[in-house]
Amino acid sequence: MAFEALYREHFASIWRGVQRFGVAERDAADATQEVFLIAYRSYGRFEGRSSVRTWLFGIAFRVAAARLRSASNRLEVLSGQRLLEDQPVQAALSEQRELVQLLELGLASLPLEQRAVLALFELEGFSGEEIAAVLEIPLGTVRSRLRLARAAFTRTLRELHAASRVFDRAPPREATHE
Amino acid sequence: MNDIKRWLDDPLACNSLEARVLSAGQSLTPPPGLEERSLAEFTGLVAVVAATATNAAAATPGELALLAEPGGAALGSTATTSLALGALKSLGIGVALGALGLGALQAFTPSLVPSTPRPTTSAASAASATARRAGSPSSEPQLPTEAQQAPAAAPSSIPSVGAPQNPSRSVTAPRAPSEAASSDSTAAPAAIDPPETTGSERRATASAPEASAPARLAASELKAEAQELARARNLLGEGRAGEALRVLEASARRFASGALRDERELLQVQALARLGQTEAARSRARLFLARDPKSALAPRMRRAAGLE
Repeated sequence: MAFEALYREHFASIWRGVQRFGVAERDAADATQEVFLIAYRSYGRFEGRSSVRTWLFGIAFRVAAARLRSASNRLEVLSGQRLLEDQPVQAALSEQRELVQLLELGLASLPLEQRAVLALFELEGFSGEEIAAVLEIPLGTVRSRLRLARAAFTRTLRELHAASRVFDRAPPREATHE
Repeated sequence: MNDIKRWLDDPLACNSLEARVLSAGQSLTPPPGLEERSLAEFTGLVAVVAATATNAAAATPGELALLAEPGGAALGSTATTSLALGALKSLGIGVALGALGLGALQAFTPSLVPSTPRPTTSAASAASATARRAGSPSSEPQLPTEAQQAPAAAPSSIPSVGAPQNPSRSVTAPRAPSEAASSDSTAAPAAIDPPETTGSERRATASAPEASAPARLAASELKAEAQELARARNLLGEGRAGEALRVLEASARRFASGALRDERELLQVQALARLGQTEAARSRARLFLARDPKSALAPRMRRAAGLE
């Protein structure tokens, strides 16, 4: 497979993925380039033991984690509660944009390890085994992190209830956690 | 985890706020044109990294001979030259690498189209052997590529990297990941931190930058870092080692934990050596080699510092 084809096939999902892992949208393109640069250098050693997508997301997670550890980015990673206090959901936003913002707030409220599991499982459709490969953790840890992430995510959304008109249009129903 | 349903797949949760929020998030797509712009930049970035890895500008006569061996057989290909120059132009780098550097780009290509699967434990050595055959001892693992075989016909501006090492393994047929992660240090995704991986790549792992480390790359800084590297490399190629060193030192301050740190350090050692500062060059090279002895750039670092 030509690397360009691989790049094109996975660009959007990696661009989205690094943001799910906490990279700011304005930095997402650069982080995505870093992911593909590492992949390009390392592709000679990729043996296909996991899917290319799983492999790329593993790199993406580490790139995002490294960026989040840096001082400047750390300052940008605010908790969902802090974001809520600083930037209340604006009524002028479209419902779609409002929902996306809620998602960002909900994910931002989670520790990176939980956020990654939730995003990979719920948004990217990875299986538990694939998530274990991406994050290099045991399957049991994936399960426990998902459980914790779901509970915290739901809690954050409930906390946002009063601030978001989305809830006014459709009363929220409790989601099952497992 | 088959017993756990995704919220979006769970009839009991499909109308929940959680599901609605997640559904909205799935629609997130890159802005129009971003993929094309990024691809163009990436192509230029790869060209700069590859050119540094093969280091045509600072190559010794012996190294030039190596580059002219079969792996560099496509040197001077007009079509390839235009292709790579276009890539560099897209990155905004106004340098002329020359046919040799562009050939080096091809030699760098970590293509993987093996006729037979290679044992995991020998992957690195096999790749290194192939790299030597390709006449580019310091570059990343590489095998003969389609581009090298027919460069003028290569449709892609990114050097082809072929298929994963075992072509029989479909990219859509993942193996048990925990097994892959625990039983084989070269397997993906652990492959981003294999022994021969560069330090820059290792810094993308969980053990990378500490809290006190300088800020990571901000938007488009990867491009800026590549541009500075290309500029320094160009100066070095013109025999202006002092200027190159100043550019590199400024770049090191600006991009202390940049993705191209290893390439920059190699150029710094080469510049020092050109200036006759042999001990300084060796000292830097030893530090590099102590930190990352199995770096793909290690052989060239040793050669540049005269440690061989």
